[in-house]
Amino acid sequence: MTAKFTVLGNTTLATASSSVTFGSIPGGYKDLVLVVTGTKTVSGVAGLRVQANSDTGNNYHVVNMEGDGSTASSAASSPNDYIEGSNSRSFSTVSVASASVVIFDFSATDKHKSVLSRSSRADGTEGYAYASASRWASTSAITSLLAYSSSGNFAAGSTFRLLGVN
Amino acid sequence: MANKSLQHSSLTDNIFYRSMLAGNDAYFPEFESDDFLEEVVLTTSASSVTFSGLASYATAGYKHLQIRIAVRGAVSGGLGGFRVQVNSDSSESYRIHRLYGNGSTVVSQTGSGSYLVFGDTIPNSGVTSGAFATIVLDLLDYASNSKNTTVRTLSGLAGSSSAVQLSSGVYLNTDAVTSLNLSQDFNFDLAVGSRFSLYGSKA
Repeated sequence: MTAKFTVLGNTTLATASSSVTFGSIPGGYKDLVLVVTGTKTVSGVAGLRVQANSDTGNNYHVVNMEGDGSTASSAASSPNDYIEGSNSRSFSTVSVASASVVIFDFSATDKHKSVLSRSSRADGTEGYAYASASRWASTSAITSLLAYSSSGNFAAGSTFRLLGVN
Repeated sequence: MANKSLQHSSLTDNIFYRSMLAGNDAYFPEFESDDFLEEVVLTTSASSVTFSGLASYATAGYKHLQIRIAVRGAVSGGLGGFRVQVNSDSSESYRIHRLYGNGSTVVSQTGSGSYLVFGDTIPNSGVTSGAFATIVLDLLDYASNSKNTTVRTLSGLAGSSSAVQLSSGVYLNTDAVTSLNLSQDFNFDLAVGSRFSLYGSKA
């Protein structure tokens, strides 16, 4: 049997950085999974955002759903200029957050790129359970991904792992 | 993953490494037990997709199953429901609970019937061309004959018709799962290009 996952990229930040780029992503896989765990460098909060193939245009669509322990909410951004990997308060200096972004049929040239994301944060200050669906409205195969912070930098030690699903 | 020989190592920086993995690819043991099993990609529209013979995967040691789906419907209209039936059982043995966000509100619903239906999931021709909904369906302990079968899904589609959904379903029968039938509600056809990929986990 073929193993489900192949590791395509793995970055642990040696110094703080606002983004990580995975370039030259090979085809031959069905889906991509980006897993990010980490914290933010200075006070405040941030979310994980992703762009494909250096596309900074309003070619993305997002719908999300989250709960913070007292309130459940849903919002949509359509169009948008990024794939949403977490809510905007997931990454902080308080605790390690995690987010996963799954891009289906990333190398297909007859489909838009549909994405499912989940993230979590739970500490003494705040907590969120979050899920979202995004779509990059392009039939181009994805060959690069930019994972970046919505505000400030990810701290040293934050990890970014890209997997191909066979 | 091939280990690099120390005889041909590039570790010439005279730094002491405490790990024998130094210089090798990172090792992620949590992924070692998951395998791709089989796949259906529709080249013509179809009313359903069936994975049968799941007992053989249980014999091979797979404890849990995951189906990863990119799907579109082939009829006029907006979002349709995603339907799951176990072992061709059409008795009133299914219940679901779902939590979904539509971009403005979060809705919690429950339902029961002769199959699992996860509503507002599959885009049909009235939804943006090229947009496929995605569904990750997990079936835990599917081969057990002492537990009711639990199904959980995460699904979504963003755009003019938007929804992200977390659902759980139960098949109130302790029989081992040997087949799964996947379809759109009301037996509406599934479109060309829809993909259903089956994975097994031994962990």
